[in-house]
Amino acid sequence: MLAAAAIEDVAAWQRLIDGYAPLFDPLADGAAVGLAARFFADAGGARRAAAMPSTPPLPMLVWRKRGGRMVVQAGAYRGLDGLGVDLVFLAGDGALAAVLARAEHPLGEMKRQLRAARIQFFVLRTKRELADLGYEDFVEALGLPFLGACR
Amino acid sequence: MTQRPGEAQLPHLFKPGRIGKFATRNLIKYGACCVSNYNGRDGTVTPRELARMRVIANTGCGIITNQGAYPDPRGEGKAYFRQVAIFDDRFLPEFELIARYIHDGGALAIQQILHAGRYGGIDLGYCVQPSVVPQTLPHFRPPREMTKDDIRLCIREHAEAARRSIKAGFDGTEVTSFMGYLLANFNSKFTNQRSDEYGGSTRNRGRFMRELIDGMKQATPDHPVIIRLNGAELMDNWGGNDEDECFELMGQAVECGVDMISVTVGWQEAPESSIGRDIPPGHWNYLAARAKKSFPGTLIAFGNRLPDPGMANDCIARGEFDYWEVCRPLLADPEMVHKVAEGRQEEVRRCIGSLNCLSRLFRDLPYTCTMNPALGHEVEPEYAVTPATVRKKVMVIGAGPAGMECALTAAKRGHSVTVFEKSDRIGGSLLGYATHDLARPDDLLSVIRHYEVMARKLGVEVRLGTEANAKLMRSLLHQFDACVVAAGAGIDLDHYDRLEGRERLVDALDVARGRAQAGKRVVVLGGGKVGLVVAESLRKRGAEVAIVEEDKRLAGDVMPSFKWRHSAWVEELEIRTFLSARATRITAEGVHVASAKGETFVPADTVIAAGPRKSNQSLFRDFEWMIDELHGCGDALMPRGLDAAIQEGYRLGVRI
Ligand SMILES: Cc1cc2nc3c(=O)[nH]c(=O)nc-3n(C[C@H](O)[C@H](O)[C@H](O)COP(=O)(O)OP(=O)(O)OC[C@H]3O[C@@H](n4cnc5c(N)ncnc54)[C@H](O)[C@@H]3O)c2cc1C
Ligand SMILES: Cc1cc2nc3c(=O)[nH]c(=O)nc-3n(C[C@H](O)[C@H](O)[C@H](O)COP(=O)(O)O)c2cc1C
Ligand code: SF4
Repeated sequence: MLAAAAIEDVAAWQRLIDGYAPLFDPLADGAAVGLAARFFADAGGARRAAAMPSTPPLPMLVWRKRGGRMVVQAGAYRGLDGLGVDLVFLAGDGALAAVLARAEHPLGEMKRQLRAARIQFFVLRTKRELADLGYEDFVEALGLPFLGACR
Repeated sequence: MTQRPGEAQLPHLFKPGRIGKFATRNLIKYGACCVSNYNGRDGTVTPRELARMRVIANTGCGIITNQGAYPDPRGEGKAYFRQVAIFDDRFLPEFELIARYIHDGGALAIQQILHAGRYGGIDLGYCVQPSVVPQTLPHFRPPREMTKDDIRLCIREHAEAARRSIKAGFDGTEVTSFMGYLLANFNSKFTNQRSDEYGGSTRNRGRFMRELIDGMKQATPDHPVIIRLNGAELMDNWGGNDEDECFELMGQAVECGVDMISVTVGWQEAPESSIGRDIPPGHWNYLAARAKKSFPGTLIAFGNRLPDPGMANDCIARGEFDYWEVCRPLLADPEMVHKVAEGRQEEVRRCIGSLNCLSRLFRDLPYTCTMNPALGHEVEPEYAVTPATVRKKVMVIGAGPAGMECALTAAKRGHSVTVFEKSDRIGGSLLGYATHDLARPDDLLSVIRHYEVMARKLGVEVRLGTEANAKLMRSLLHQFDACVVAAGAGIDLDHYDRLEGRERLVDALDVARGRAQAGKRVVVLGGGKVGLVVAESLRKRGAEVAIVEEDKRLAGDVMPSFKWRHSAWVEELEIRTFLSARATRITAEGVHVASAKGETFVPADTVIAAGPRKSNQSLFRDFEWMIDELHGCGDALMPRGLDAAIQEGYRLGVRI
């Protein structure tokens, strides 16, 4: 499945993240994570950070903490600048579909895709901001070292 | 100087060498492995650093590289909280001292210049890079793109730093791109997405490096310039350079006439391990061999995850590289080169690849070493092993790492030491940990072998199969002056008091030590370090394994550098995990697990208790009125880990 198709399945993502409610408990209201297809971000070798052409709008999934719950909604991807999210995952073809397809512990699959760089992860805020927003548990649960990596 | 016995056994390593006009007494280079976080926040060198440098200066290496200093007054190149700076002459006096220490120790002195680029700007709200590529690790700062003026200034600052190093008395300089610093950022197509003459083709991306080398060589024409370059970035999947491109860039450095290339591996943000214990020694040697074959006229230094002097000697003999560039093994044992040269190799305390040292740097803490508790405390006489004023008879209860470390240290000071160990081997819990370690058991087992060798050499009596208790103590009354309780910790089975079927639980420490066998379907209660190590090992041996953890994530008590490793292993091994969950009932068929998602039944023939641990402290009470001095160390005080056990054992040993 193309990453774009998996991104559009808002209900499936909502079910998935509802299963991890304790992980998102520490997140402050307004904290937001974006998921987009890597194809868009890499298109034509364009700079990852550069603004993308705005037409047609490219699908993005946003998980935003609202009223104590992580809510999944559709968004638009226009390059990494001004995305309005704190973290962004850029997924290659098949990666997000594999996450959705895993019945038990789907974030485990996400972790695996991250390690293989089939999903890339970029940080759009400072460490302090992320810590204040309560991201430490979530980031570490994905196998990403919140502090230095020590490889 | 006459040849020492070990030098004849490793003749290639101990052969004299030459870099530029400078001779070196052997082919061992102390890699810049000393970003220490011991210094002033303003980049000034402290007495703590100077004391540490004296130790480094006397390691016996032919070349010693002083830690990377940042070259710019803005601090954009500064990666570490208390990193040293070299952007101004006011820093000269301490660098002069360091160069003198190194020369007095008989080595060639090289000063490294470290501009951290993408990982820099620790005191600023940003870092500088060739292009704006956001960070992949939260630890680092948001990027700003360098203008051409910035690039020119940066090169000038490197040249100035090189000139200043030579003025301080250093013989040569080195620029590092280790683990993804500025130079690596320009070289890599992951972080260099510029469209001007500094970006695009490999040739263009290498322009910054070529100009940098030119600038430094012009500033210090009579002195060697060394460059550390990635043989592999391990960032290919992120759009970084592949190995061929890395070697193309090395070729450009050779064209510019660098005197030595130090080949390194990996970036900090690479998803793969590069220098951890999970990488077998010698794994990356092929990169050095390729560099030497490609550039036979340029000196190649190499050492990443090559801890064995014998292996290094053989590589040099085969012409795979010219200098063994060694770092962490000399943190773990600063005497290593001397011990090897004197044929006392079995006394070497090995680096176990715990990466405690680097983990601490990333937490803005001074670095320490799991295996070398004196490291970083050289300035404090309290940490030195000095002859005891009053020689005592010391009894140590427990031959785990805490007990053995204390016993050996006390013995070195002249005390007469007896260790009482109830099991039949030295090692304590470490034995179970080492046996099941997925990364590399031999490194952990080397700690136990070291204790065995040193106990023999220092005349420490170890009474195996002897349980210390009040009865034994009564039989020994007045025979000892001091007693150290280092009896470790056990799994706290009381934690499962309300668990139905708790009598079916098997203790994780018994499984770890082989006193209990697990079946083919295992549930491990507890996803901390003990539970994880046991679970991974059983899974690797073919069992179906699930972990039930009460917390919302695994590895809560694991040291930072191994958290992500466990996380990856659990995934790779397909171990089922239940987080924010607890077992409610154990039956002959399996375990009922409750979580926010409801109750799940997990079939199992063995359920292992690996939850909270409890210190074995009863002896403190029993012995209180039976001996003059009563002390404790390690897990017996509070269950923690190997690092704390070794540090505490040593600290007590130097004090008793
Ligand atoms: C499976 C497993 C995995 C682990 N994983 C990690 C890890 O990843 N990282 C980490 O840092 N640590 C880990 N550990 C923990 C680490 O091994 C311990 O923290 C460390 O060994 C503690 O050292 P110690 O000397 O204080 O106690 P121990 O190593 O427990 O030694 C205590 C010794 O005292 C002896 N003893 C007890 N009572 C008596 C008595 N009355 N008389 C005589 N002898 C007695 C015991 O037999 C034992 O040999 C793990 C341990 C296990 C079992
Ligand atoms: C505590 C510590 C500090 C280090 N500081 C530097 C440094 O200042 N500059 C550098 O290029 N590499 C530095 N390194 C990397 C080492 O020089 C070396 O390349 C790496 O540790 C792998 O070699 P080893 O397996 O012999 O330890 C450091 C490593 C450690 C563990
Ligand atoms: S802390 Fe660990 S990795 Fe670092 S030098 Fe010491 S033993 Fe080696």
